[in-house]
Amino acid sequence: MAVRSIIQSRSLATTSSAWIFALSSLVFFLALPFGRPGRAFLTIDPAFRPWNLDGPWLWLVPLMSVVALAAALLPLDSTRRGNILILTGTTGFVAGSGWLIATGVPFGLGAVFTLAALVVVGGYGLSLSGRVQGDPFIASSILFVALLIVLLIIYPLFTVLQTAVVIDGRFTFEKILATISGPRFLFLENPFTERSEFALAMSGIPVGAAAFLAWALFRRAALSRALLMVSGGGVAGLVVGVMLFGRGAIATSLLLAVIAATVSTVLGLAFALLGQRTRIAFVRRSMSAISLLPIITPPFILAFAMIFLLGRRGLLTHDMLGMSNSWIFGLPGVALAQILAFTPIAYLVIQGSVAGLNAALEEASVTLGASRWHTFRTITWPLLRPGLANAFLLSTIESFADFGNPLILGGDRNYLATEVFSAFAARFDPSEAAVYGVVLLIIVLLVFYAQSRWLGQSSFVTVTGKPSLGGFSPLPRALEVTLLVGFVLWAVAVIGLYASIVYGSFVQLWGVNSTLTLRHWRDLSNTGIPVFLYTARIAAISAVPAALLGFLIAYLVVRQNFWGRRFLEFGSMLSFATPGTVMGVAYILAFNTGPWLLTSSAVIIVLAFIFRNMPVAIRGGVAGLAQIDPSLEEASTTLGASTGRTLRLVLIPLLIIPLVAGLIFAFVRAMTAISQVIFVVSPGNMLTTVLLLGWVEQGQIGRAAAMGTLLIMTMLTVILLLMLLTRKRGLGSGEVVP
Amino acid sequence: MKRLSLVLALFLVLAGSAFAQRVNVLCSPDLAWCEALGPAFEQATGIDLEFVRLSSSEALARLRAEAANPVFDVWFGGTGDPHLVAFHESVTEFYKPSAWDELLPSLTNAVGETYIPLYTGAIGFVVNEGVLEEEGAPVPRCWEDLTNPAYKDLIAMSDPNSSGTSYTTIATLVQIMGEDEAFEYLGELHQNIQQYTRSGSAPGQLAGRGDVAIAIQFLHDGVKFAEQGFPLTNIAPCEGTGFEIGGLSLIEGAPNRDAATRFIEWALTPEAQLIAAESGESYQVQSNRNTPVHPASPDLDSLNLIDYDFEQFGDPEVRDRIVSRWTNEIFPVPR
Amino acid sequence: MTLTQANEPAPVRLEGVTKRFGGDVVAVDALDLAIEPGSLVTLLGPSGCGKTTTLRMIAGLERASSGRILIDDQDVTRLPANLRDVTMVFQSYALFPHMNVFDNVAYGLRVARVSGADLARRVDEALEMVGMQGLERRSSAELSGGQQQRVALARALVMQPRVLLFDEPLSNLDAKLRRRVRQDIRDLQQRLGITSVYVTHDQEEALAISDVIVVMHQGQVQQTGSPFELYTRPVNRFVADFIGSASFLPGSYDGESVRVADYSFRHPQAVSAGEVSVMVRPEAVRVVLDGDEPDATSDATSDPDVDGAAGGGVADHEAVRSQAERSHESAPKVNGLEATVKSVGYLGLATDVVLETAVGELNASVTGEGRSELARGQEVRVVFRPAGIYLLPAAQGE
Repeated sequence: MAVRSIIQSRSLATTSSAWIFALSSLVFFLALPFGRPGRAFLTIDPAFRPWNLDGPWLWLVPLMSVVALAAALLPLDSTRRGNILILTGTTGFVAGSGWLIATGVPFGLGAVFTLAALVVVGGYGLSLSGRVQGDPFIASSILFVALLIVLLIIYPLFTVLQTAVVIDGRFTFEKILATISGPRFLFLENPFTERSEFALAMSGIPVGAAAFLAWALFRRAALSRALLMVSGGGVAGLVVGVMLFGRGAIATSLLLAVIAATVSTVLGLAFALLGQRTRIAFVRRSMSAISLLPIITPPFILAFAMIFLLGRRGLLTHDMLGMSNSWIFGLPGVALAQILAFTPIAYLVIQGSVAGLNAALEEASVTLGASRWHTFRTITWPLLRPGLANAFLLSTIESFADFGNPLILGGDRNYLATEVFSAFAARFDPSEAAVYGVVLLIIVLLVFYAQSRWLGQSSFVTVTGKPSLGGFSPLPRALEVTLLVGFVLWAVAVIGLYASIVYGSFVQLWGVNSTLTLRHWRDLSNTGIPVFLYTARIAAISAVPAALLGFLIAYLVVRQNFWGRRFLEFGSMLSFATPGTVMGVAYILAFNTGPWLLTSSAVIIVLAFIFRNMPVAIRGGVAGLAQIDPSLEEASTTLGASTGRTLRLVLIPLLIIPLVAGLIFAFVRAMTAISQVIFVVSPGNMLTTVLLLGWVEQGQIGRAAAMGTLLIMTMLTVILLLMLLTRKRGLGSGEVVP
Repeated sequence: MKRLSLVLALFLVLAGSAFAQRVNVLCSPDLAWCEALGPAFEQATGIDLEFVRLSSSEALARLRAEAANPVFDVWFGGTGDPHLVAFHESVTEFYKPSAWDELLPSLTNAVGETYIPLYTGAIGFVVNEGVLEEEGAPVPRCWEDLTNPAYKDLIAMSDPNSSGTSYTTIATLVQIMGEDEAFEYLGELHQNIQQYTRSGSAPGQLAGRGDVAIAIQFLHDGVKFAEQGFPLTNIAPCEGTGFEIGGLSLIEGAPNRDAATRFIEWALTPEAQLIAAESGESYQVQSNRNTPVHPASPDLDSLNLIDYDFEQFGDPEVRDRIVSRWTNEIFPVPR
Repeated sequence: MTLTQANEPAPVRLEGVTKRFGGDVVAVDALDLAIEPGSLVTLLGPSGCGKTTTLRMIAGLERASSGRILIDDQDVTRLPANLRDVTMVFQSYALFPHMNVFDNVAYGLRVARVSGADLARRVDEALEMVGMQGLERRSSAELSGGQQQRVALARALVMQPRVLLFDEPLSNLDAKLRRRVRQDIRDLQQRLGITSVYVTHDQEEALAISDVIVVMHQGQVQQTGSPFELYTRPVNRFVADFIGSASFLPGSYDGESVRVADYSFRHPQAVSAGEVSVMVRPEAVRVVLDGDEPDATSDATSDPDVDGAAGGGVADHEAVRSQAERSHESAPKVNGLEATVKSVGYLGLATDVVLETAVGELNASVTGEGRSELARGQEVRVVFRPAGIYLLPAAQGE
């Protein structure tokens, strides 16, 4: 007998293991309640047993299970069997979920397991009928991932859109118009000023158009191109005008994003140049450390510390420089906080491009008789441009989405991300929140689109570059000194901010009473530590599925070819791009009532974390898979292993480092997230960052500093452990940054 | 099957805490007070207490959003107006505690059978005299003083869109001056405001750190910051001032109604009310007349309290009109 | 049981198998192929011809867009790869880098739940067969390319597959090693009698090891046959060109003699009279130096390599004689095709000569001593030897 006789007999047998799932769906349907009365998932309420529920077509579900069971067991050829399984799986799933949607009854455990089993039945069908190339595991995975993306990314965002345009069951643009013309959105024409801001902003159009016309003439552009440039210039002029003279959230956020992204990009470039070409080895080495900072820092901790260093009575501004004003509250303060936070990101992105600069190219250009300026313009700049653009656009997105810094330092100006929150949480106007959310989402997606169009990158996965080895000509002295001074100032500021947080946790009252004390650490024991431990647990629980799901998606997208693959990519991109507050309001709108009732539970926090952090794992997975020869998987397949076993025996062992890295980053990001989860915390499901924000807002400074210190130390430890692990395994530690 | 049992186990872990008896409290006063409630209540009754701290406006929003499937059992603290709105919208229901007659009659009479008075506190100025001195500005005594250009950029108050404190302040001014005059005054005051904060107690914090010199807010929050060690003094305006009656409400359709009523009964006992000042860093005057007033608490008898019309200014329509008038007429004016 | 008592070799049949990528790219177009049990069939063609896609469809790594694939008369078209009794040796070896040699070879057995002594025995046997015993504990990274390919072969053989597939298994090896390993593969295959499908773009490799070669081009089979058939009787210019090398000259055929420019020779072949394309293998070209004209008899009888003239083989008796006769009858004209030497490349065993004739370029592979006299620009005459001449209808010669 052949080795694979067992396998072969199975393959040629007349039944399919799909029967297990068909039967499971039937058993789950009969054994568990299909709905539940309230929020508690585990309520086993007899009233929600299927036979006590209305709607005869709910019984389509078990009927389909029975048909599927029969189809799996009867001797049919695989195409016909597959088609029947697809039909029954789909019909059962649609009937079950349709019943939930029609009745609005929150789903019960029975619904979850029954419908999941039916999805697997459908997956078997797709595989057996040959509609999806791949075994049932792949087909089911594709279905599950697609369903999850629809339910937990697309549907919530759709709800936001719907809430913005459907008021009291009526389709209308009233709310959009009311919000956009309201004083918080775009306060352009201020009746209380003598000047006309509107006219000033409009004057940006001719100014911009004229500037671009001059540029077009200078470049001797063709007429059509010149027209395009002039109209583009007009639009740009208008945007600049609105940014400068408007006061509402959109003007403020735009201006903030432009400032923060520009400065971060410039600093990022400076640090990247310095990191590669300075003569001082210590500076070169410490560069990689700064790239860790944004990962380990809770979102508003730096802003909080800035008040103490830079406020009216700040250590630096008042005590050392003798200043006395409140510039820190408002746009300048937020911009500074964002620059501190985004520069490392910009550095990471640009580093790749700078590493791609080749000294030989520049020298070659000079030897060919080009001037330094010409060399820069024709050689250096084109090589740097993609990296700079990428860094700029990423910082722009981050700036728009930033929630913590405007909340702490924003003063009383409005920002899009915080308005989403205020409109919902303080003014309780879900439609207004939705309008803000839609606007924010559109802006961010436009920037993303611009990024992928301009840079020709199809996805967000290729943000970082790989530094190449090789000697570089050192920087000109003067430039190096300037850059060094900038870096040292930046480093001192950052170190000072972190140190002040630690300091604040050990003194009686930061800035007032410097007596050393452990009181604040003791005060953590009541609520702080339990909440911290709870958060760590939730973050850990969510990190595992986030990493696995991210890898699964990476695997499906990279290695499998199926209809709808672009949709999967798009869905994952969407969860990455959507600002946290928008996703937060989307979750509360989508999951607060009705069939998908999930709010006020740990489950929704876990789900929020999974789908928020999964893209990091996708990126790691895609990068990891790119290093692995697909023949390895094919070899495993031809040797008889199913896809599941191939993943377990071949891919996971080979990708263990990026997998662990994905896991740890998912954990760390969950620990420091706030913008999305602030909407969904509930009694017993309180998270560290939300608690910390409360303390900061209400002046429990010492406690906040102690918690901030605890968080930073924890994150640092975790990240250092990861780096140790990757170094031990001899794999590039440069790859650990998400 | 192994995978299935893992999933089940995860569900059990996540939902496990739902089986113990507990009460979910939506807590609107200072976080420190909210934090101190749990251990004391658990010790007194053995019931677990879980809370979420939200400002009173946010709390009302949350309760409205969850009205169909309430999560919370009790709404603890926060300015009275939102409690009143919640009662009128049937988001909360009136529960008459056994201690009703022990509560200060001035409070119970003012609110009637809508919500339970929990504490009271008055609006005033929380002043950092050091900053004033440095900036060469006098210490303010009256509302009128605050329009002095010397205070440019030195005053903070909260935004009525997000803070009940701010609304109480504006309603107080309307009651003292009349609506149009009050808005004229607010317009002048606006020129001196450094920022309108999201949270009601944040101005005191700014004053404490010296980012502003004067915070308009509840005096008991000023006491809190002063007790923490910030160089702050409390000043009651000479023209008189308004006050709040912090509320305690039972949520309509509370999932743990029994635990909720036990919590309400407990919260009104002098022992429970003492927690506020002793470990909660909160210095409001507590509603139970048997609760000793903390020495640091503002002495309400010595303040010139106006006859605050809770009925009229608790009306959501009046509130909306005043807040939107402020938002449209005061907030946008350049300064 | 041992490996030498492997499965009954299975026949493989492809019926109208088509593979489309992305809707309009047809990689494999209505392919029909029958593979005899126990034979080694090579799919040969340039890259992009669909040979690898065909192999992967047999393996189940690609799914046919239409058509049927039968292994041992069972339709496996839609059977997932892991359930087919087919194993594959990959171009990149595809050894699992996190496993040692033993674990690599044992992988498939473990997946099939073979364990213990049975497992060890079979792995040993397989390793012995490829001459890799004793290296079980080596990590795959420590092996040379040739060793890695042997382990990969053992890993595929240990499963006793009904069909064994090779996807350009030698292309990452250097030329010498390639020759040795391909002989080993052929020996093993014949010893075990496993039906094998072998993909390569290297015609020499194909000629050396195949029972049957399938020449593919643009997703279609051009010709199927034994190496000898393909070399001597290619059906079209593509096959002729791909198997070995050949020059094509336009000519005409009257059913008996071929005429190329003013050179005519007899060539019996069943091809319709008229315009033809004459395939000339390089070794069939005999170069006659001017002033050293061989007479008919010496040309026909003497060994060309010691002949003073350079040549690639024995010239056709009949053809030369008839030419000779004709030249006697009419003007004293020497039969043969006039040509100019365009380039000369010395390769040791032979010299490659490119010749320019009135009807096109001609490649010749010249042996013998006289070849050293060949120089660029030289005027020469050539005659053809029949073994390397084949006539194609003019249309297929294009």
